[in-house]
Amino acid sequence: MSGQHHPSLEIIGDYAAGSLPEPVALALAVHMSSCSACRMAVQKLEVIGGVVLDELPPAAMDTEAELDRALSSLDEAKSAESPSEPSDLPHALLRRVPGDLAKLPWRRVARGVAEFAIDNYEAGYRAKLLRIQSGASVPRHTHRGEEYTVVIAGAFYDSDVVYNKGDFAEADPTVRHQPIATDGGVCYCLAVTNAPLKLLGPIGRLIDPLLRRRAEH
Amino acid sequence: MMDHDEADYSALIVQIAEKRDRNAFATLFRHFAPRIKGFALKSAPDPAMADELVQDTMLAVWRAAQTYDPARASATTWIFTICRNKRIDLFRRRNRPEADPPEEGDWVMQPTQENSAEISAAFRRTRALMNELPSEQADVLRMSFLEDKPHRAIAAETGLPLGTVKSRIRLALATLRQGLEQ
Repeated sequence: MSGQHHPSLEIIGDYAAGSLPEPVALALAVHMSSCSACRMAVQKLEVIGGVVLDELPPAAMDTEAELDRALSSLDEAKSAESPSEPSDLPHALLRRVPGDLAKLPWRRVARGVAEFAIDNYEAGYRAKLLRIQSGASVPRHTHRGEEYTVVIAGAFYDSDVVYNKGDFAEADPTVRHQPIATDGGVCYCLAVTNAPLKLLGPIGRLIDPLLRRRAEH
Repeated sequence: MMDHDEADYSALIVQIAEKRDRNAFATLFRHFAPRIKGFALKSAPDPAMADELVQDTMLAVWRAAQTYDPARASATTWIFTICRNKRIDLFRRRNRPEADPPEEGDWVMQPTQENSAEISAAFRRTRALMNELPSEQADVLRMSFLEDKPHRAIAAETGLPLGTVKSRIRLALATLRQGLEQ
């Protein structure tokens, strides 16, 4: 089923072009694993790449020598079918997360909220999984850069808007929010940021510098 | 150019899939290899690496030919997507995150003559729409597809403010999307 909340056209276009930073592409891949509308949108824009490739003037090369090289490798080129174990998680995520969600070494960040850092990426990008217990809320915060969130399981709401499995949310420094998991069970999300969050509220202001220092390591 | 040959290139990929036809592969290689090399040179001026991208892409075409669906993409567009992914793998040394394949009955189309004709028509329509774009939009759109560069790098290269690059690409994409829905 397609969800209600989709990534912007800009993100879809960059993914089709191949220029989207990898962690954001990961969030989009997770979204598209349950959204056929966005898969179709990417397919339509990929035609731009076909046109661009078609109109490129051929580069100088020793075509016959390179063809011979390719032909001699064909027999070794096995088909790339890899047997995959059945899982509820999208494959793009399984390639980057060891094992099933319940067994990850979660680190508690607030009451009912834990996180697991997936990787650090180029240009300050970070990707992490969030586990929010039913009814628990992420500390109220805003952003120093962009934040992309996609729901992996469960649901959360953010100022009365509900985000279900597969839904994609984008936030930036103009957004102040406090996402809360619904009562329907544990909510797992993938969150990608390109700058540390800025916590709000009295306790948030107190611990924000500490989190920032840790984030900069 | 495309108008005459695209269906033939699709047929060649199908022949590779069905018969492991090395002659079909050679014909495809002679047409696409110099273009893939040109594509590679746009993101890194390194001829040896560009030749590697040609090899990686064309071997992937051979391996993945069975997954090619002429009703879903034209030959050139399909080869672009492989080339784009291989470029990411080769230059960034990382795998590109991909969506899971669709479930049964989700979006799979049956490859029919009609669908293939629609695919060719969509290709021509996209090209026509791109040619109608204001050149300031078309230029940054082409750069974003050709050069494996984030908007920030395009802004640095062109001397345009980042916001201008973003809004031009957004406008171009919106025009294309709207035009393709008509």
